[in-house]
Amino acid sequence: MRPGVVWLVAMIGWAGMPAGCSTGDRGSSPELVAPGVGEPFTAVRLSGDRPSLVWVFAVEQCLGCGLGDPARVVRGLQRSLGPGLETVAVAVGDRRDGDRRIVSGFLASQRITARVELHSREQHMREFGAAPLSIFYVVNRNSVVEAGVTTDSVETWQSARGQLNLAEFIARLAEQGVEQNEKGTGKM
Amino acid sequence: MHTTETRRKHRRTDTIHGVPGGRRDFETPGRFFVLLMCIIAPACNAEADEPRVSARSPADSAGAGRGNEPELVDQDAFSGAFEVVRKLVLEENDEAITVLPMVSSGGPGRLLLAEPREGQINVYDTDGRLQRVLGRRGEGPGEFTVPIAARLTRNGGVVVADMMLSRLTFFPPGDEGEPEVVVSPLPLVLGAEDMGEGRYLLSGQLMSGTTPRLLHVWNRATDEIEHSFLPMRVPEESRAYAASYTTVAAILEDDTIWAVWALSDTLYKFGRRGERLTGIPLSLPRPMGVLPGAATGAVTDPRAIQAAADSLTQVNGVFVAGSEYLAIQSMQSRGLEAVWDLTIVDRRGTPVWKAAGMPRLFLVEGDLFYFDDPASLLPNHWIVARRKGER
Repeated sequence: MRPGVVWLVAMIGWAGMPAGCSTGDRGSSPELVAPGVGEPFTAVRLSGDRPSLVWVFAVEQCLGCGLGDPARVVRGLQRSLGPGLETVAVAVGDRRDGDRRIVSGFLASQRITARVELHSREQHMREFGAAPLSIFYVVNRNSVVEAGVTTDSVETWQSARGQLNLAEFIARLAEQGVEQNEKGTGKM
Repeated sequence: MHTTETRRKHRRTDTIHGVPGGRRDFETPGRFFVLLMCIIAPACNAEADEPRVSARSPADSAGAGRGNEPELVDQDAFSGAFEVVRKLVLEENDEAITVLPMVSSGGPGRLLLAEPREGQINVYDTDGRLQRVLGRRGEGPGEFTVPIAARLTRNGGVVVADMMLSRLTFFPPGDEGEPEVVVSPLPLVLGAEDMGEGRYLLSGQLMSGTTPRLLHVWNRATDEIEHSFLPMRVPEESRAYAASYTTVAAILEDDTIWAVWALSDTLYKFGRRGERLTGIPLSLPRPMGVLPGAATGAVTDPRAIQAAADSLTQVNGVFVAGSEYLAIQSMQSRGLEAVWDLTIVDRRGTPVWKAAGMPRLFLVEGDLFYFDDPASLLPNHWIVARRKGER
């Protein structure tokens, strides 16, 4: 990786978030437990009538380049699924003035339409545990279908049984409109 | 080379000293500005679904805070100077979507759109119909990570500069043959234009002696940089910061190279070997601003970086407009958005017209100006306009 890129990654790594794993490491502290597969997803209000993609990232990441790959995936999903997919962006930060504008501007620049929710770091820790950012949750009927697809695995994620990629997996959910029982094997 | 403000501020130390080593520029507030500058969002709110017309006076738009108001384009100034010939909507389908178009001419009736965020090149006709897609996201031959610029070559092919992979990819004319991939002599290559005789004009920063230079004549056959020019002249204490602003725009017109660099309010004119013919001071619609100096220290907080960028005018485009004029585009960032300004001069540099708060200009072909449509949030909605009185 070239020095400029290293700097970038370092900048957007954002020291405030402890590294960890949302599903593989459930943690010993009950306060640091991320929602797991099959569990109700309560951190964000969702419509419940269609699959939802919840994208959790740090506000500061919007100012760097590290969200480019996941943004491309979200853009592709929205293109192919249209209103069949609900997208919620959870931006984690210090709730500073202008945060919503930063996030909205970033999403717009990526041609992504999403409802934006701003969460404090403490709130994020309570709701998602010590998960790395950015991360995706796939939710169907208000239950977690796939928990914690990290940014660096989003393009290589595959479902266990059907060998679907993330886009195909969510598209299948949207088409079926029913509970999905395939479990992913995305790298965490 | 400097603004009035920077000249005054740095009067005593305006000497050129080398940046020790080749890595120091990477320690600075961010090479990512090259991305940030060109990855500017249209005036928008992601939660809004409907396109809207935005109009506000430049005086209002000069403020740093815009709140949620859709200020970016001074419609009165624009319509006073340009007549809209037609609207242009670029076709989108499963193959192609317009996100952040970096536009160049694809020859008569064709437009080349590099899409750095999609990792591909989209070829359109001037009615907006998708003709062809070149490449895809990836790192293999014919694939791209951040294709930042695509240009037509003299044999009818296309050369693409990928700034993240540091590669130049040459697509042959038509649909025949495989693309040829060449490692760029510039680590951060921002553009390549075929000069003929096996030479290419490359854009991007490269240390030459002790001074970074921004334009280079590259011999493809020998893989040698034959000439490096357009030195980045800034006061020493600001050099680390300024090195982040690597955007350079150049256009080849016969034996003349017209060029601008982000932090210079000068229009440069070079010969084919990089010999400087003249430098034309520009009177831009907004002041250039003041570069942070050494006293500022290293800026590492992304918000501070953004705030500093918001206070600077960046010159980021030069276009040949017919046989008489040149158009120079400059901008100021507003967070992840931007306000765009336009200055038109004649070939001697005499100011002809300028205005702040213009739609973003993508391309000038003959007397036709291809602008982003300020009435739409969608980046595939453009307008084609002609200067009034230029029919």
